[in-house]
Formats: sequence, C-alpha cells, structure tokens
Amino acid sequence: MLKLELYRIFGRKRTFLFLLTGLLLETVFSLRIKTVMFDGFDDDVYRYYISRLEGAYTKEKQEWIEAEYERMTERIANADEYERQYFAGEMDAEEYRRLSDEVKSAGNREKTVGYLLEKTQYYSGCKGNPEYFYDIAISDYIENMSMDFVLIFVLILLILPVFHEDYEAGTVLMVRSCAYGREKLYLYRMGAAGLVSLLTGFLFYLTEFFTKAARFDLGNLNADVKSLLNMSQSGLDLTIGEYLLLTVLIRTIYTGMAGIVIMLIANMLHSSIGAFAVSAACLFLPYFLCRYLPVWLQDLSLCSGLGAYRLFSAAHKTAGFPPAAACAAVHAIVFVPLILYQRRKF
Amino acid sequence: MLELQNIGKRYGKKTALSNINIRFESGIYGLLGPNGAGKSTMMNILADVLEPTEGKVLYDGTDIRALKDQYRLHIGYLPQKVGYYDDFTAEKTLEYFAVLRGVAKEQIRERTAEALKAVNLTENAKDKVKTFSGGMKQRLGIAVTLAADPKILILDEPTVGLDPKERKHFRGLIKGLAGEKTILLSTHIVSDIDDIADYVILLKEGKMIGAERIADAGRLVGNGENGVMSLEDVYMHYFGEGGGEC
Repeated sequence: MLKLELYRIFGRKRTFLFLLTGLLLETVFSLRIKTVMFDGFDDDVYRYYISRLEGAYTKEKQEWIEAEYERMTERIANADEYERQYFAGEMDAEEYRRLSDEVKSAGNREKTVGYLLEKTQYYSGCKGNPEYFYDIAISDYIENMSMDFVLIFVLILLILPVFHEDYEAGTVLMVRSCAYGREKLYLYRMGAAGLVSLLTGFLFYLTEFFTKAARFDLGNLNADVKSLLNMSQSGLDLTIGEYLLLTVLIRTIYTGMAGIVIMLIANMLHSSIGAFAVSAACLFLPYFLCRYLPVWLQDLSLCSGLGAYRLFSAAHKTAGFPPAAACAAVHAIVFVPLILYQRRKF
Repeated sequence: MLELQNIGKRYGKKTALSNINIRFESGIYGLLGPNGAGKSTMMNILADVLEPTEGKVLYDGTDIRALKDQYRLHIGYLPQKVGYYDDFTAEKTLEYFAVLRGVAKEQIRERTAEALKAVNLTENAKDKVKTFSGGMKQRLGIAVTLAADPKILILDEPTVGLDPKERKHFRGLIKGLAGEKTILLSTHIVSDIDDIADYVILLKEGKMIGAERIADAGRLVGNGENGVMSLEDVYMHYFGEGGGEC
C-alpha cells in the first residue's frame, strides 16, 4: 500500500515539476550568503592575516597577533601626537607621511585584527583542537541556517494532493468504501507523505550545501567545529564537515515534522486553497513571531529545528536538555495524539 | 444476509430517507426511483460511506458500524459520480483498489486481468485513465468493483454514460455474476433492471413504496389483477411520464 501511495505521488508530472523548480530556486538562493560579520570587518585583511596564521593554534601565533594588535592601537592612539610633532617641526614630512599611512592602515585593520585576537584568545582556552583557516563563508553559512521557505512551499505543494486528490478526482466514496480505505490507508498516506518530506528535505539541504561549497570558499571542513567562533559553546566533538552532515540530518528530520503539520491540515481541510493558506500560515507565522518569544520557547519551536544551528548552541540550552531532543519531544507530544485522533476519524 | 432496519437520513431539516426496512438475500435487486428519490443516499449507507441518522444496517445479524473493515471486505461499491487518479493506468487503478479492498498480493495480477477482460478493457490496460471516454471510465469503475470479487455489489446508476451496446454488455455481465452474490443496482431507467433483476425496490421521496419480485411487480400498485402489470407500467403509475427514461 505504501508503494502504491508513493507511486501516486511520484507518478504525477507535477511532482517532478515542483521538485525541479524548487531545487532550481534553492540553487539560485544558495548562490548568495548574508554575512554576519560586524561593520568594519575587512575580508582582504582577514585573508592576509589568516594566510600568516594558517594551521593549528600555537603560543607564538598568539603572541604575534597580540603584538600586531598592540602596534595598531598604539599607532591610532598616537595619531594626534604625530600631527602635533609634524606641525611643531619635530618630525620631517617623509616620516609624518609614513606614520600617517600606518595610522590609516591601522584604522582599517584594527577591528578585523581585533576579531582575530578575540578568536586567538578563545583558541588559547579551547578544549578542542581549533585551527586557523579562512572561515568567514562557513561561519556565515552556519549562522544563516534557518527555515527554508522554498522547501516548505514545495512540501505543501507535494503533500496536499496526498489527501486532496480523492476529493478533486472524485475517488473519495470508492476509497472510503474499501476495507482498508480508512484507518490503514490514513497511516500509509501519512507514511508516504512523511517519506516524501524527508526525501525532499534531504535533497534541498544537500543542494544548498553543494551550491555553497561550489560558490564560496568554505575552508577546511576537516577542522574542529570549535575552530568557528560562533560554535565556541557547541560542546560538540566533531569536524565542521561532520557538523554540517549532522545539521542536514537534523533539518531533514524536522522537515519530516513540518510535513506532519501539513498532512494534519490537509486531512482536516478539504479545500486545497484553504489547506495551502493554513499550512503556510502555521509554518511561517511562528517563524516571524519566534523572535518575540523567550529563548527557551524559541528552542522548542519547529522553526528552530528547521534551522538546526540554534539546537546545538549552548546559549540556547533548554532546561538542561539538549535542545534537539527537547524540541523533538515537544513535537511528538503534540503530533502523536492528533495523528491517532485523525486516524480514528478518517 | 444484509438488512436495513428503520433507516432514516436527514440533512438538516430535509429528509432524504425515512423508515427503510428491507432484507437482502442473494440475487439482483433493482432500486428504482426518479432523481432525488434517495437512491444514492441508500447506496451510500449500504456502502458504509454515510452514517444513517436513524436505524442500522446489519450484515449477518451484526451492525456494520461494529464490523467496520470486516464488513467492507465483502462489498464492492461503484458510486454514481466516480472519478480516478488521472495519472494512473487502468491496470494501476485496479491494482490500487484491489489492495485497498484486501485482495491478496498474489491474486492481484490475475484478478485485475479478469476484471479488465470482463469489461472489455484489456487492450487499454496500460492507457492512462485521463485518456478514457466517459463510457470507458464507467466500465473501469465496474471492473474496480469486480476485481475484489465481493459478496455484495452496490452499483449506483452504473449504466450512466454507457452506449446501448455497452449497456447490453453490462447487463449480461451482471446477470452472469448473480448466484451467491447480492447485487444492488440503482437506476431511474426501467429497462436496466427489467431484464436482469430478480427484485425491484421502489423509492419515492425518501420512502420505500415497496419491494417485490420483478414478475410480481404489479403487486406494488395494488393487488389482484395488478399482478400482471409490467415494471414499466408500475413505474409510470408512480412516477408518471416525466418520471424517468424507460
């Protein structure tokens, strides 16, 4: 029965059209990345210093970057003094020009080198094996993980017909008169739609990863995930590559949960347009409202699971539970009784 | 075998069926009445897709609400307005419904082929249903109900959309199926059941006028000499000339 339900979904040309269009849009949107770096961050400066620091943390590297930062702050602090000395005739023009250039350069570099210093100080006390490498794109990628709107739209379009096609095609009476056209069919349809959700989620997250990997310099994926400053409190003993795989899996599982939300709504509302609107509202509104909730409540929301990043951040621990497990438990508590109720009424 | 006890169905203030009592044994039953008489409502209740407001349906003495899928294993229902999954082939449609009707996996291929042959659709087995004409779709619906070889066949206006040749073939098919099965056939076309049905049930405005053997249909009008009246005369008596297509 599951095979036939999957055939019903994948036997339609529309399914592939929605999937391909969605994947194409996903690829296009993945070609850009929003940086989470602060104002004044200079990518060229960062690349220059990283090329000098590349590799594992050492005490010498720390001392060097501390000296660099000190030199810059000193130059900036003395800018007025250089100017006074020049106008007082205590400094010749060539020396003043050289120092002015250094002050200007220090001004441009100070914030970026300050960031590197902050990172180095974190590395010095870090329990893992952090490494220096160009990590801006990967940090941005991880920090920007959130609910994928294109994926959710595609999921709605794929899942609604699982329950609605009977009404549109006029098979509902014939199906319901069948021995297994009620509770058993409901469970198989839920299963089929769940599998479609997981598969779609997995495809989209992989597409996002490979597009970003092709478009941006994601750096050393074999480095310890603690090398990334935004993962400093993750508590995970993984490489960045393993961490990304974990987020893909977690996000895929939560996509399955989003699929359950859509299925529950699709089974409740027999109008496709109504079910589409309600599904979209139920999944997107919490995403927009989430930021106004207390952090512990945010962590339990579906959008938090769909983003995955928050679930592994120590800053978002929920009452001592790993947030991923707490989030999954909350959703199971809500969904299981609803599924059982709908199954009985189907 | 199958019995309706005090069945009534209301939609708000409108009464669709009222106080229907009848017992079905094996044989072909023609449910006759004009549009709006309550035929489809009665069929839907028998097919367990509609709950009656009053009364109960008994199968071998047990309420079908208690039997649930154990009752539905024995029925094949063709609704009046039937549709299909457009992207399925005829063969896949039969396979899908055979699985839903509980046909054993190893029997599906054989049953599907037999059912398609019975309705002359063997050559179209691999064609998508969306390419079918109205008549072909109706024949496919009949095949769907036959494929599980149910004990009870409930066919709501099964000849709608069939041309005269197909209609004749259908009658032969149904006649051939009679025997141990209970076949309920609703129609507003007298000739559909005159030839093949063993019994006729007359429905009017949600009420059962009566049920008789076809040969004794005249008794539905009164008694004595009316016993020789044809079914068509009985129909005309109750529903008039505009009441239905003869």
